[in-house]
Formats: sequence, C-alpha cells, structure tokens
Amino acid sequence: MLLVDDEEELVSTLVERLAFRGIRADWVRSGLEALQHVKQSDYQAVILDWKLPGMSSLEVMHHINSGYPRIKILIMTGQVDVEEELTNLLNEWPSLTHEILFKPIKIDVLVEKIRNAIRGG
Amino acid sequence: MSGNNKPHVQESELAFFSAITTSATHEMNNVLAITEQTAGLLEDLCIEDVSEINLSREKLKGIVDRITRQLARGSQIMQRLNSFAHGADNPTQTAELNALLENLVMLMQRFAAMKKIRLDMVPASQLVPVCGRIFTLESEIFNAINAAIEESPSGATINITVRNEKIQIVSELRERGLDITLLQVSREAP
Repeated sequence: MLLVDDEEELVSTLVERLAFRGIRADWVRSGLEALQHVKQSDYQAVILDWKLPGMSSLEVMHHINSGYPRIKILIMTGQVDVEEELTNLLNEWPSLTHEILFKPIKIDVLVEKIRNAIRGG
Repeated sequence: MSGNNKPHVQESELAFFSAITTSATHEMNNVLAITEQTAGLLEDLCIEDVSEINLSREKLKGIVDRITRQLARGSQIMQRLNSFAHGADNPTQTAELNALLENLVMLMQRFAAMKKIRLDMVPASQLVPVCGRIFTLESEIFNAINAAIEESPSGATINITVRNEKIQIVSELRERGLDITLLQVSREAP
C-alpha cells in the first residue's frame, strides 16, 4: 500500500510501524508523486492526507479511481472541522473513498481500517 | 471603538483570527500525531526481538532526535500563536513591526506551502515601532500576503521586506519579478 502525506516524519514512521504488523507500505509527500507510484506498483490501498500541497487530494482520488478502480482509498485528516465535508463526499461518491481516518490515529485502528478496506469490508 | 468602550471587531478580522488559529492548531495536531507514532515506534522496538531487527544505537538516536525536533516545533508553534493572540489584548498598543511581521510570516508559511510557495521576510535594519490597533494591522498584512499567495504561481517565492514604515510584498518566479502589493503602514509616536 501507499501512504501520502507532506509530513515526512509521520508517513515514514507509520510505514515502519505497519511493517512490524505485516503490512508492506511505501510513502510519498505529494499527489503527483503518488500518481507516479501508483502507475509503477500494484497497490491494494492508498492512504491520502486530505490537505496536500500542490495537486489536491480530490484530484488524486479521481485519477486513481478512474485509472485503477481496484485500489481502495482511505482519507486521513487532522482537521475535525472537515468531517461533514468528507462525509458528504463519501455519500456522493462511495466508490472514491473507503474510509475517513482522523489524526492522531492509533496504529491498531489504522491496521484494522486498512485490512477492512483491502478485504472490501 | 464602540460606545461601551469595547473595540469593534470586523468580520474580516474574525476570519483572519479563525484562519490563523485553524492553521496553527492543525499543524500542532500533526506534531502530536508524529510524536505519538514515534513513541509508538519505540514501543514496537521494545516488544520486538532485538537480535532480529538489527537495532543500532544510531537508529535509536534517530528516533529520539525525531521526538526532540517535533517538541521544538510544537513549542515554537505555541509561542507564535500566543504572541499572535496578544495582538488583540488592547484596542491600541505598541508593537515592533519586524517582530510582528516575522511572527505572522511564520504562521502563514503553511498557507503558502499548500501552493508550493515560499515566504521570505527581510526585516528593516532598525527597529520600527508602530502604534495603533495592532490586530487590525496584522489582519491587513495577512490579507495582502494572502492576495500575493493567490496571485503567485506554484514554485514562486514571495519576498516581504520591511522598509521603515513600508512593507513591500513582491512575488518572484525565477528571473521574473512581479510587484504585487505595496502596503503602507503609518507610524505614530508611541
């Protein structure tokens, strides 16, 4: 799977912690890099920070969904005030987002959400 | 100032206050998230069989440094937010323009970073005391820098220069220089 967040120390640490739990993941810092990685690798899921610099997360989601509809997309955000916006997005385009995760997130919760998304639960 | 001696807060000033606090607290949330995950990583390493994971002193030092960096970052965000909030303490107060602008520019870096724009500030060579409604002044400077961010292309650097009572905001992309806004700040004796 792929983690996308401009907070390098957050994504790199999460990738290390996921590895201890048997989940292999890569990380990148922008939407553009994410799309390049998605082209080159066979990811089952992508976790996207909602506020990315440059290309917006919504654009990235549309690109992934149209080119690789099999990939599950999970949104991660530190802004509780966008919950309504994201919930509406989930309702409008259920195919786009599988789950919304709020930072800070417990690693066990993250692992459960990833496994659920990959299983299609 | 209204009749009951309370300052009249404009809608744009409330929007400014909201934008700065939302951004700073969002950044603090990232600091907490990184610190929590890094502490969690240390916990993971304690649980694992050390002989199997090749745990070196350098690796541990790197993890501790990551926590130290985030604590310093969090502390700086809190100091800047605190200093910013004090700008609204009194209807009329004195401030030093270089320090005020430096604080505001740091608090606005995240706004610029979302468009992959850099904010650079060049202070005046001497102290520039300003007196008046400091919060209103900050709000105006915020609007001017925000306008420059909106107008600037991705990859640009916005140079904010203090020249005595003037603040110049210039957006540059490589060799192309574009003068976007010139903000005049009137100075009164404190």
